[in-house]
Amino acid sequence: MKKYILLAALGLGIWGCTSKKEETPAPAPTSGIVLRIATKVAGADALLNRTNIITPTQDTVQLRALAFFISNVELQDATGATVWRETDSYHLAQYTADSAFVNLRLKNVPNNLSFNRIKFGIGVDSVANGSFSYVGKGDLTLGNGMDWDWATGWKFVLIEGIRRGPSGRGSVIYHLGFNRKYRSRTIELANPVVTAGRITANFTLNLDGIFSAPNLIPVGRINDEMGNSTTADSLADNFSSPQTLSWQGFTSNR
Amino acid sequence: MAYNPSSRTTILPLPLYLVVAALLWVSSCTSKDTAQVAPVDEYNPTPVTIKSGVRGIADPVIPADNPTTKEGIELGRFLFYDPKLSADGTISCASCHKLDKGMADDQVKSIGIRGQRTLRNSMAIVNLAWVNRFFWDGRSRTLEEQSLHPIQDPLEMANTLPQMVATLQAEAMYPPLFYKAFGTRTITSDLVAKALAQFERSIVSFNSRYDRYLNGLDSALTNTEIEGLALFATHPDPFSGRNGIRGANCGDCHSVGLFQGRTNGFQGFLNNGVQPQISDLGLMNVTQDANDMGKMRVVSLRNIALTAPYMHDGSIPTLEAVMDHYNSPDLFSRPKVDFLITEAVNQRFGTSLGLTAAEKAKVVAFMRALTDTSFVNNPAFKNPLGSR
Repeated sequence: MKKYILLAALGLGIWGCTSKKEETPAPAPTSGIVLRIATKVAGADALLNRTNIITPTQDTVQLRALAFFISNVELQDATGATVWRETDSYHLAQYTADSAFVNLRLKNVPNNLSFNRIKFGIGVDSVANGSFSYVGKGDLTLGNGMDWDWATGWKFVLIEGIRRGPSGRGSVIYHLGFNRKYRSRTIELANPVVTAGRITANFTLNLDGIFSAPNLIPVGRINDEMGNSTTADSLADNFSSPQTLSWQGFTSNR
Repeated sequence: MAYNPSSRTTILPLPLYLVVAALLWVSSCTSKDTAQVAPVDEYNPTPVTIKSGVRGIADPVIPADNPTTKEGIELGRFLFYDPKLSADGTISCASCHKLDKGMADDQVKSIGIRGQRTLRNSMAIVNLAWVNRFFWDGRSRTLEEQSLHPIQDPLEMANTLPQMVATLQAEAMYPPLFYKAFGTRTITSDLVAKALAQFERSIVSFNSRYDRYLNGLDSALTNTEIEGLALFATHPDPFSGRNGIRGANCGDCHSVGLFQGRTNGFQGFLNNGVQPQISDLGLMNVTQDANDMGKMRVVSLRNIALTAPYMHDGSIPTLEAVMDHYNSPDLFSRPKVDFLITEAVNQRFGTSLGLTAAEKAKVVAFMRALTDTSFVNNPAFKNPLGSR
């Protein structure tokens, strides 16, 4: 009998410790969506400092730095109504010399959501771009080379490289910023997708499109765009166009 | 109390079961807490989080195999200031990295063992937790790796690792400090590296007037300094609008916030044209890539007013002269100078940066606002060895 009492006492001890855990509500199940953006030139993987891009003006460009913001990601139904919107949705896609893709992980996507469209921005929206209160949200961090400043805002897209060809030798520097360069894209899915487990949304960034799709950028003449010019508008259009940033479909990692 | 060997169960008088039950309940719930309260001489390191405390500056990535602890940092501080790490007991890390000089020194090229001159200017070792490559040429991937180089460099401390370990092992004070930090009294060069790296990671400076301005105190900067910041952060575009956009273009390389180069691979290494003829290959020595000829790490400008002279070769004595360098009419024609410099002009078809004297002065004023006086007086970074 006493043995049983002792066991009961032990049980009480264990119960006393585990009861708090039981009181904690289980987190809502979430899905993992990864935006995978692979860099390509003429269909082949493209690496910084290695891959050559041949422009329509027959110049050869080799990039040494490439970075841009993907922001305000939301999932929509067939009517365009938002079914889920990421909070603090600012992702920096920053490429390294040894990888031809980046993975951007969306946070806290609920399971069992059906959606027909993915909408996102390229750059930083005007509200966040003009406000210090957004500094620190998502990847809007200082010191990452996409500097935020009260006067200049964030760099939305950073492209740097070297060029040679009919236009001579030199550099390519496109730092696209200012509110007017923010671009939005909506991907229409052929069939609705239901969030479950981990899925990857695949994009290809065709680097040759920066100079040609749809606007021709004569890199010899326009090799340095930092301001708010119409040429910079054309570059922003090219960078966000379906030809340059092309949708490749979902893959499931389940 | 009686003991029944047949059942190997402790038997207690009945009323005591309730007491035991209550004690078991309490003790099993608090066992984790009490386990952390250990005698002073036990191995029980206290984790320390390295943070900037400034909004917008992301937390640094700390290596999983060398978590920062109070005991590790303290050991590292003793080692950092101890000349016994050098071959003849005369040179410590602190000989070239002085707190009142922003953790650099005031020499063109530092003085190492037996009065020898080192090959480059002493780097300010501040906010290194946010750096991905170390030394001017980026030859070390981690602080742990970096920390053993000067100890073995024949111009700096000229020691061997076995000799250094033997010296420290024979010092009465060190084995207990290593035990507190790492759970062993057996000293190894690997543990020395880890302790030094922990101390270096703890050297954080984010309390300048600029930081206070960033955190919302508008009066922390003067109007001149604010104008200097705007110039600092802006890439000039003389073709934009009627009057163009004027800028000093510093932020293209010294990214605002950390004020250092990018931490993405070697993107934070650039040739700023300080060498009229490239004699120091810099990053090229590491990558063997001719495109990297003369590239050096873009260092942080925090506390820059304290760390003169400037550049990897210490060739520029003042901040005003630094601005003159970047404004120099012949800079763009120097070998391998980076295009982030040569593509920045304030006049249409200009061939130099083209700042006015007033603009240069504003940028200098802003850079002086990056001095963190609480940092240079922080007792946590001072010599723990006293006058030893």
